[in-house]
Amino acid sequence: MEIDIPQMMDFLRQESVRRKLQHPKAKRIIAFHRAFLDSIKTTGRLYEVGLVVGYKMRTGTLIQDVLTAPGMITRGKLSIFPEMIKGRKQMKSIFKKSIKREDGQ
Amino acid sequence: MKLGYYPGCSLTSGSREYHESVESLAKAFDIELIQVPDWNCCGSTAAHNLNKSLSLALPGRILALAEKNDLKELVVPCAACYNRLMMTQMELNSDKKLSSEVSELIGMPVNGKIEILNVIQFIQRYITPALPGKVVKPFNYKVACYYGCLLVRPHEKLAFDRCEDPLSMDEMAASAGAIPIDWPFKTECCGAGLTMSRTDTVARLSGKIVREAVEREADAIVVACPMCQSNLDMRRPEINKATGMKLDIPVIYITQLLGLSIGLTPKELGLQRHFVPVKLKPVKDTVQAGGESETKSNQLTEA
Repeated sequence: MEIDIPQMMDFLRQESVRRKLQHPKAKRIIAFHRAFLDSIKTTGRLYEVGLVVGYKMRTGTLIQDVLTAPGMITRGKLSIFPEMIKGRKQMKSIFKKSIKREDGQ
Repeated sequence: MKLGYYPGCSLTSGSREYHESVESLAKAFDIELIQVPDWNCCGSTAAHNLNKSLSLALPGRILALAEKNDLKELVVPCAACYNRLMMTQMELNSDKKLSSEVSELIGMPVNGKIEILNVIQFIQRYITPALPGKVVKPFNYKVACYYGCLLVRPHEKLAFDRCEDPLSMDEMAASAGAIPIDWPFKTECCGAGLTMSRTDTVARLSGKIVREAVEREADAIVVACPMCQSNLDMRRPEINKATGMKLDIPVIYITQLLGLSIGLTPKELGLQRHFVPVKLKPVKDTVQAGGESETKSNQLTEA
């Protein structure tokens, strides 16, 4: 039997989050992932300002990367407003059903 | 010619120079890229780290929309999106029960019939055959082609190029006049999505890659992934701090390299958006005029 290592790693990560058994050093990584998913749940596409604000709120890292933001804005790399897809209701439904499906295991 | 196109979130925000260079290159070869209507984020690392259903449903919706709009081939320049779309389609095709469950989650059927092309495959198929006749400004520089993780791993599933020592990007860079260097860091990890949550790790890993390219005397690092580009370019202050060096080698996309070689302008390719300025040292022309060597103008500093 062949062991699918990437699948196994994903399973262990997902299961540790579901059981709330993360390593303390992974807190910021998980906070980033949650902020990322929160952003696309609302808009359908990643809204980087929303992601950064969400991440900082979760971790208290308020001054991190404050010097990077102006450089991103002047290079046209940071959109002030989010891009909203038409299928936002569908996205909310996908999130709701997916979370229910995993938590219901 | 028309091809399906999934830019993904990075290409419409933090890595828009990649989007610009892909579109400019395609246009120069009379290819129209048709975006998947109303596409959504693929979920990236966040979804497959936290929620299995979401990690399949988000790419599943993109594939379903592409199928619904009769797009047979889908060009996906972001290596992370390419990886997620490929892995999802393969997983759904190998498990019919799971496929119908995902169809139920997204409220649309997913048939798993799309041909997903990463940017290198797109170039190999549609650009390389016509490239020789279009090169007007050979990219006469030494380049370190850096593939990263997501184009080649997991290799048993993606089956793209050679897992440890890929060559496809080196070959296409050479066909545009570049001199690819032989180096051992082609598929080392740059730190990927840890750029905010573990910047120290990204600086350490990316620092090794950038330093190795500089020590092997490359003039530029060439990439095909927005996350790799961002880590090697935008995180340069952190990299310099971690390595204790002042590394100023630019990091360009393969689409920018090819675009410059066919005479597209730096602005059309978004070169002005890089954090590390794309300024390469002038190259001594190989043609000697009147017994004196001429210095070729630096095509990248015109912007």
